Amino acid sequence: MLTFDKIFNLLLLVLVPVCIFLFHFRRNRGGSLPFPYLIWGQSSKLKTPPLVGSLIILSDIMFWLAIVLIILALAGPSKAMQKKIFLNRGMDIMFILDISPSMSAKDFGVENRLEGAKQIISQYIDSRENDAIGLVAFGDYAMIEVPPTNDYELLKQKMSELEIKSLGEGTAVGMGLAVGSLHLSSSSASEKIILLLTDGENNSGEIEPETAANLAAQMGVRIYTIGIGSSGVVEAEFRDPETGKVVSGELLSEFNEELLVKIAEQSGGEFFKADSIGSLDLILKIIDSRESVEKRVSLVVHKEYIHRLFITIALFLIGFYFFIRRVVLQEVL
Amino acid sequence: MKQTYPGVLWLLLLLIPIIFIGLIGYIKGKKSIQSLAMNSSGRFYRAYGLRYFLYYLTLGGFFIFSIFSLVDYRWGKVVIKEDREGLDIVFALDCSNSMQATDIYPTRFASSKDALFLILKAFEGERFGLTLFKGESETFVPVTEDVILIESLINYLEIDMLRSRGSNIENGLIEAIRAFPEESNRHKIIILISDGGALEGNASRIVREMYDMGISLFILGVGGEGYIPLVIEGKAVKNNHGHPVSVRQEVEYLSRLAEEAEGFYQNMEEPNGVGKLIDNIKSYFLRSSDRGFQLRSPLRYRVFLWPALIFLLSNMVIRRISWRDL
Repeated sequence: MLTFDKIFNLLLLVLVPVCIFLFHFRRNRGGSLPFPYLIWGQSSKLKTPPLVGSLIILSDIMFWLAIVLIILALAGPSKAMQKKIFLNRGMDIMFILDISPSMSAKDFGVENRLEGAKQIISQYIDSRENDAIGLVAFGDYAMIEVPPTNDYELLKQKMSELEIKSLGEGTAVGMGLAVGSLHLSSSSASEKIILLLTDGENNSGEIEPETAANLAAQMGVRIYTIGIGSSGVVEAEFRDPETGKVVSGELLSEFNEELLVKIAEQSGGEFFKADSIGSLDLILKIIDSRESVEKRVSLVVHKEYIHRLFITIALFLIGFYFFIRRVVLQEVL
Repeated sequence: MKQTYPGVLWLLLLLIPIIFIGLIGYIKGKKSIQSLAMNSSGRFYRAYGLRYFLYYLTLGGFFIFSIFSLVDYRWGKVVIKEDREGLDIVFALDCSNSMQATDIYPTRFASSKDALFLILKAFEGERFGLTLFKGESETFVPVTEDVILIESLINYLEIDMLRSRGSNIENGLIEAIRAFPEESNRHKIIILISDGGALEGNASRIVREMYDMGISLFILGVGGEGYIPLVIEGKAVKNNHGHPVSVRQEVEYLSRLAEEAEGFYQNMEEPNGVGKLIDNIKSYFLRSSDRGFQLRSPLRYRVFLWPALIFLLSNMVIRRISWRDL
């Protein structure tokens, strides 16, 4: 949207048509040198060649256009954009995602459980604003992929790069929770939640899930646990990140529901089962409705001043005007 | 008085061909008038000369003042209401080869990492991001409150984490600007830690844009002011011609960058250099956020544009004045 800082300066534009009339159309306006020139037997008027006449008119148009642009520049033109800024802190959300080989099971509608989870989490991220979201991945051990941040594009990019078995073959639920809690410890957010997505039993890592959950609860972090996938024998396939070979087969899938319920209850959270991509989507929406922080928003106008564009064009126009009159037409006076 | 776009002043050289065309035009015009009005009095030619002079004076005046208005001069301060709270601080850390110089023990890069720890500690509760730059740049940590991650990452930072070559401060600052969350109500600060050895890019352009975006620039200059040979892993670094490379901190360049951004430059070599930088940041932002306003230098281009308009209109008047009145 184009706006002007000193809008009263635009009143000068009223003078432009007045000046055009006075300088170009008023009788006896002067500025010409009358001298007698008569061609015997013909009209006494010497007609201006069409090209010359056109160039004169063009140069005059350029001149007055430059005047208009200078007046517009004096009015302080700017491109104004409204930006939304948040006056208060949102909540901190930490996704703790299992990337052990069992997440390659193909019972989740899309490619596999991990890809399905990534897709739904990505949509969830798109629906957030002002919340700092982080990502921890775990297998044999846990690693912070993205700290809680509002840079959602970086978060989604890092999440898309997660590969099955890149952190080993085990399932270190406790380590995942511990790392997630550690990286929420410096947070000053009033509400902090962990969303733990796993399809397996804790079988790796030095820290037990209950211990990590207790630690999180003491820090005021609520844990929502989501058991992914169906129970029983399922088909699985993934590309081993170390060898590059495709590994496929069947696996017995079962997550420890009792443990996940306990972890959630310890911290004031809740346990959910997601046996399909649709149910995971619904679960995240339910959690969303339960966890909300009041948002105080302000609309700020950001201005980008563009007066230099107007002045530059005016300079070019006067430059062309000068060139046409003095060089092309070789105007004397 | 600060110039936002000083390079525009080179356009004043265009006046040379204009004056040249004017002189040739005057001579030709005088000859043409002589052949048309052979026995005219001297008064006629004086009127022509005066008119011609006034024409070029007003045209030249328009060009000069328009060009000066394009420079976007700033002076004085105006109060701008600002209701921000807290700081988003992005570190733009130079990891070019010159940062391996050993004029600061153990190396410039290692000392820079120590400075980062001090700054992190001094601003507890604020948010931080970290970008590294060489020829290219990369965000290693997006703006976050997670100081634990940043501190552990700084410990593992190595100078060869970016594969590109060269040293481009402009790219570093652009990446740092991108790291800020858009919808944040916090003050935005970039702390550039560098020896100023910029082999490419135009950092001056980006610091001027930073000022318009409301991003403050604080520069911590690293390295000694005298040249020392660059030695990496016991071997002297040589350029393409086989000559040993010497490096120093480009104090003048870094000071000028800070001045253009109306920021602050601090030489880390000075006693308690990092402490002074921290104090400066605290005093600047504590002062402004206490009062809810900021002082900024406004653009003063209208001071030059009004005379440009007057000269241009005068030029048209000169062309239209009736000859008989002269």
